[in-house]
Amino acid sequence: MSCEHDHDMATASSVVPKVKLFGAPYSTCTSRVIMCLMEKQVDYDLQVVDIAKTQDHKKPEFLAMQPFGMIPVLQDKDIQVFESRAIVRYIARKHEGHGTPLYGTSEKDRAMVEQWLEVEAQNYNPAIAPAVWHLVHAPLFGQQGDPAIAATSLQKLEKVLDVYEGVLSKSKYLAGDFFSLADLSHIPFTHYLINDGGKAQLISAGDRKQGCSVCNMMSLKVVKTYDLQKFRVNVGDVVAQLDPEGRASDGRLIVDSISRVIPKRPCSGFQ
Amino acid sequence: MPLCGKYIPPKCRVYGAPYSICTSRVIMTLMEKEVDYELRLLDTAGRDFRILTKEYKEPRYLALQPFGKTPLFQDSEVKMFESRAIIRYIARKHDDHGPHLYGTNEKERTMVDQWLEVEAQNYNPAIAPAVFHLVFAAWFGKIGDIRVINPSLERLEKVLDIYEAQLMKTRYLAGDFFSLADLSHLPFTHLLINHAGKGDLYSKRPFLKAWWEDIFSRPTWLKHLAKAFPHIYYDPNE
Repeated sequence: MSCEHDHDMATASSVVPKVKLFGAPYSTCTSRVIMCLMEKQVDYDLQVVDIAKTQDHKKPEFLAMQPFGMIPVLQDKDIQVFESRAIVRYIARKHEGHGTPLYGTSEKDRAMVEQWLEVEAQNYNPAIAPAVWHLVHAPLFGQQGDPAIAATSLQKLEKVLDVYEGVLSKSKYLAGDFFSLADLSHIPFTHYLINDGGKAQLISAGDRKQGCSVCNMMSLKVVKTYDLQKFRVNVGDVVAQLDPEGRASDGRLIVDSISRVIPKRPCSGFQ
Repeated sequence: MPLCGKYIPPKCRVYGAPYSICTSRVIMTLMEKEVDYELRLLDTAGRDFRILTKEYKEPRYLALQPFGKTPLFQDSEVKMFESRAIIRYIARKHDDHGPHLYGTNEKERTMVDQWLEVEAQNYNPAIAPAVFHLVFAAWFGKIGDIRVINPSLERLEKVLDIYEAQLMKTRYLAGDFFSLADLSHLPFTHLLINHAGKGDLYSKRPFLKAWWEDIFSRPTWLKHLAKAFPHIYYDPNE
């Protein structure tokens, strides 16, 4: 959707194109970006790139946007960016004035957020991603998950969770006493592991009370962020109202990608 | 005039070893930004036999870096770890002087973040196993496992093809300016090309070759190599 108006001259007739997000609702990395957009109250259009059935991510049109053939990709006027953690940094920076202060309020806060975002990328993600793939997503892609690989990766994750436990005993969230990009970045994979992978005991095991509060914090944040009232749809009615393609009765695609409302089945390449 | 002036302590401190990949990133950024720093030598790999203490395992270090790794960065405002977070912080803090490693506008900054993430998520996992088995193994008296090296290099080749395509369009990764993203590639790539002899992977891709020769010959990098590996390199600009 292109627009001829100069957006700096906001007139009653000018139309601001929405942010376009290319991704899939069941993808963890796409979820990361969606959560950030919602926290910052940014309107967006999800263009579904089906990586399960129709393999849209391998097609030339997509590769022209993202040469590594991975989702998500964000398009915002003249900026096109991929890599979910780069996208969420961009969104948090651009919309610093409103929504949740995901970058904190001071330079020191910001440094801590960057630090824990990197911890998630370098320490947490490599430990949790294989487990989530083999326990949750492999069947979605018609493959058999390997429980042995999942088990090894969970052992690594346990060590990382021990460190997190120590940190969360001193501060309410990872980067300080405020919910930030760093905490947000953990939610998609953790949610899948706990809820779909049935590994809640990892978080609430033994003395991990703080870990449990992380999980609770994340769940609460999920409930708050995905306040379906915003979509004028009741949680209880959503399942009844969704058609096979995951759209509500008003045609809006319910992209509550990390909720159990959308059953675990491959997306059928709609759009 | 007094013979010795007042001692002005360096603005910041880095814990780590100059020959370590992640600490190199931080040191390079500090040098590019001409920021004075103090290096506290900490060798988590145990490569330098002169360092007998394992300071990184002590509680007072773990209180600052709970994963017990290097580098750790301290200045008057922050104590932080994770090299890619540190270099972003330094680039932002000292944006007003030195090369604009984080770009000069929002679009450039976003591209720097994007290619830094590409390095972290795509390049690093492909090159690290190869370098560990081809270079580090020998440093510790072991032999690298070819079953790890070959798949890792194959994976790297695919990534290099994509880099080649990008570098046909822009002079450096994030645009026509040298940035944190290019800098982040220096340590591992240097070891793969100059210590593991895998330079042909880069020299057979002309744009990649040009990019590598450009960033490798930056005076700060050559100066850093001479300091980190004094028995192997000298600074040609001195």
